[in-house]
Amino acid sequence: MIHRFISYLADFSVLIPVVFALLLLKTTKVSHLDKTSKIVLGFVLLTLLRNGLTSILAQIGVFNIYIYNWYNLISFVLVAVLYYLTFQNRYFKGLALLLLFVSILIACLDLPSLLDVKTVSFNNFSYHASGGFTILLILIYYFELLKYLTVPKLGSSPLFWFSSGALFYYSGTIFSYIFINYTFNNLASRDQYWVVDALLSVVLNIFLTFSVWYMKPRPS
Amino acid sequence: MEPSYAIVIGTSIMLIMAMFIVVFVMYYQRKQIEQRIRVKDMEAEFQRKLLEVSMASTEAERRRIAQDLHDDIGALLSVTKLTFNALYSQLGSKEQAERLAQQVREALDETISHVRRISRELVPTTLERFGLAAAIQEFAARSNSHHALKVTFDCLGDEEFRLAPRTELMLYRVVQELINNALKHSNGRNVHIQIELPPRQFCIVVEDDGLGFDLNDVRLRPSPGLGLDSIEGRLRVINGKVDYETGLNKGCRVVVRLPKFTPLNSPLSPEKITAK
Repeated sequence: MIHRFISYLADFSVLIPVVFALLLLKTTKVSHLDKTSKIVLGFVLLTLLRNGLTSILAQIGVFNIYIYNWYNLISFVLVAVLYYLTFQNRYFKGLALLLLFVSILIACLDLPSLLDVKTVSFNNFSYHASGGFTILLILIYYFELLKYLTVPKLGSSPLFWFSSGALFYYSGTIFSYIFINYTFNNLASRDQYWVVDALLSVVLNIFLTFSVWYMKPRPS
Repeated sequence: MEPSYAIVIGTSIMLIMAMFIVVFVMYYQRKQIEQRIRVKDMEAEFQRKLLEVSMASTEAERRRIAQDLHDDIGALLSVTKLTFNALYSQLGSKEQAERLAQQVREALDETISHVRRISRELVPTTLERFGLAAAIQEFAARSNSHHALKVTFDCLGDEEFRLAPRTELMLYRVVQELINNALKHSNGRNVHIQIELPPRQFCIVVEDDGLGFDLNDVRLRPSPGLGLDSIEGRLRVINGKVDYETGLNKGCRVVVRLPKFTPLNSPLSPEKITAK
């Protein structure tokens, strides 16, 4: 019962950043936002689509795992492009592009999980690779923040909030999964893992809300 | 009971990440503060250099004007005087002509002496030849003869001590400004200048028994006022310090100090370094 409640909470928590995004778009045109803000909004929209579609499909009893697989791939593409645009060092930019192509290749290793709408398996390679790559890109972003000190106030930076939320989510889920997979790999532990995943999704959505809250139109 | 390993691990990692982010933000802010201080220091250094360049160009311009006065106008006046003397000798001894000639000669003498004085004030040759103490003493003596105030001078320490020419010139201009301030604004009767040269310390004191002034009030004035900005700017260039001890009707005592100074003959003197 509690598991189901947490799962719903995780699915519906994405509505908070969506509401803030709608409020933002009421006063600001999308074209007036910078590229990174547009990508973060795209990420929020993608998460809303995934949660909406998977919930509807689950209600009517249709397979929905392939949607998670596609979501994982597309969300990493967004993240890689986001950091590619943000990085100042050209080697780090190159690394972001390289990780993007590698993650697409890795996702293609388990092609049926993407193309078969009746698949019941998660694209395991892709989940861990993209999670690990995202953590790496976020750490590089933090490194560049410290190196160049270009952000006057970290607390008002949408990208900082997005990165912190993503760091929470991906590090929390990946390390828990790896630990469980190689130690107590049983049904109860797997259930607990999904609870952690759902709770971290809520945390991510709260951070996304702050990210959207601090978005401002580009100075003309 | 099945242990909730996933929850324990998930929570631990979340706490670690939260700590990581908090530490990151704190470290970031510290670095930002350090950077701000660095930028401020760089700006101050830039301002100092700018001031130094501006003052150097002013001194160069003064030198050029002094040279023009001395070489061109001074020489022309001397030639005019000689020519006039030759003309006068041919005029005979008419009384009227003699009186006019005397007037013209006096005017020429006065003009020549003015040109010499202006030229000497623009570029203090005594400073270059004999050093700061001698130049200040000469300036004090000259001020004494031109004003009602009594200007006295006193020197302690090694009178032969010399600083880099640039430093000496800056200090001379500062003292000039201070003495002029006392002469023009103090309404006092005495001005005393004391210069203390190494080995003990380097210090110049200019004090008067005049009206004094409210330092904060003078600083807030939009116009240059007593030239305090100029004095402080010059001292900033040579890393000097100035202290004002004054108040309304309390006279004024200005102490100029040079905490770090390099003697002219020291291997660290700027002139020596440039020569290398």
